[in-house]
Amino acid sequence: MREPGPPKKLEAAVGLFLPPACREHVLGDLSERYRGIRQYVLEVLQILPLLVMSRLRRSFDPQALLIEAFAVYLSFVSWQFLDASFLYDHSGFLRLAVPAVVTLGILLLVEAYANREERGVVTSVAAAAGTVLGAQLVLGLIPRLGIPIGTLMAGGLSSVLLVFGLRRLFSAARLGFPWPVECQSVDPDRMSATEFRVAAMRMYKRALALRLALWVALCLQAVVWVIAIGHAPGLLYRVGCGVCLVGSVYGISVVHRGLARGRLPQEPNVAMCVAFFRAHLEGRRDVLLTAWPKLLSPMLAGTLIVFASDPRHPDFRARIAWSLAAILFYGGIGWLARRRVPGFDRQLQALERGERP
Amino acid sequence: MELGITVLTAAVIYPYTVGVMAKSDSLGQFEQLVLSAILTLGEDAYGVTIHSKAEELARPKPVSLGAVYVTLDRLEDKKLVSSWLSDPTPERGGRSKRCYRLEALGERVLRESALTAKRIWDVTTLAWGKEWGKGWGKEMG
Repeated sequence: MREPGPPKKLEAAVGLFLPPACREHVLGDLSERYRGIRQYVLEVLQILPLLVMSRLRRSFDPQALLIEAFAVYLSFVSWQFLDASFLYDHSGFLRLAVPAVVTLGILLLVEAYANREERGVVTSVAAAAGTVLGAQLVLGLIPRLGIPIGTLMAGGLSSVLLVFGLRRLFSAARLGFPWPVECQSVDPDRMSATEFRVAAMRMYKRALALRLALWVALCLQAVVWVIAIGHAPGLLYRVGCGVCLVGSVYGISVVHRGLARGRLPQEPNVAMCVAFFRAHLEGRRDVLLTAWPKLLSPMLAGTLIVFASDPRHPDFRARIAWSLAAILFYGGIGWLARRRVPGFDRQLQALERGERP
Repeated sequence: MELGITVLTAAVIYPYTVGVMAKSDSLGQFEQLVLSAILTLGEDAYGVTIHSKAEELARPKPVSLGAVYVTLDRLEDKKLVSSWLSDPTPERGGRSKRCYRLEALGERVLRESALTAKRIWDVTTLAWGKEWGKGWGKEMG
């Protein structure tokens, strides 16, 4: 005869620790395999870490993590004005990384345990903020760390808000190709397969060079903003630089995601070339479409904050002129980017007809 | 400045070390076991049955239920299997089952793995003799 199921209270307690995405079926499976409390608890202890790791792996995005790590560390650094003396002690900046790492770890776990069907954004932010503040309180009690509790709490809270804001604003673009494509070969009347292959290899080499150049440019920009934060004359100026820095890092992730789509082996066949052309063109089209709303507009906002809050240039007219120049610069790039999108659409349509894009 | 150097180094190395295309066509041995279990179970493939079948196939090695869950997640990410929640049943405390099904890509990859295993079997029996093959087959049940 089959043993009765596990005690309801024990099952409810186990359910609290299981990630919501797998709670229902895992509890069911455990209930079906139930042979006694000892076996049940041992099995839960065995599978729980694996389930959490699996959820972490599924929600893990290295580019997003890099941006979030920057944001969290910056938000702790930006609150140093509350009590900056500890920063100039032995390895102050390094010690400040401890609460940043703890906060980032908690936020990763929050993402792994997120249940978007049941919880709203406000509840999720409140739960994350509560956990982060609790952890910061514990860190504040460690005398060897020597970070003021005010900096820990303010930094923790602002990191939660910043990371949730980033997750909402800079969610991964899933634009893709707007219509289905069936083509897997070239039209032999229009061009030879060899010609098609040579064209694909040429575009692949150009794509690698373009990606590297954009990476270097954006990284140099990020370094400039880091240096600017180090020499910032005020909090608002630092916030502006921080926004631009996050924008630059996000730009690196956009360039990587968009331009790295599609790869070619040494000796590609036609189907591989078609797949490469399609992935590469789609990627570039997506980069251009997302350039203004997700990359250039936050960068513009950050630059305007920097110009507006720079006390070294008290001349009001000069600030207006610089702000206008920034609007023209970023707006111009955004406009040019949007203008190039139809060109990529045409190239993708040519590919669909079996022609070289 | 150190931060800048780190970011620059990452910029140069990162694009060439991170794969963009999903490696859906390479299967680990445990993934092959789980896929075979799903294939054998057909409509009745869910956590508990897949675990029992995988344990049977992996004999004499024990298989943990957690490893089966992790592998199922990974196979789903690789688009080799798909899953859905069934209706709740009273024998499971009113909980639903997550049922799994092989996708076309999963079937293709499993077929390739089976052919590779068959080729390995053929060459080893050729090298060590047919008697070894028969004896080994009996030993493994």
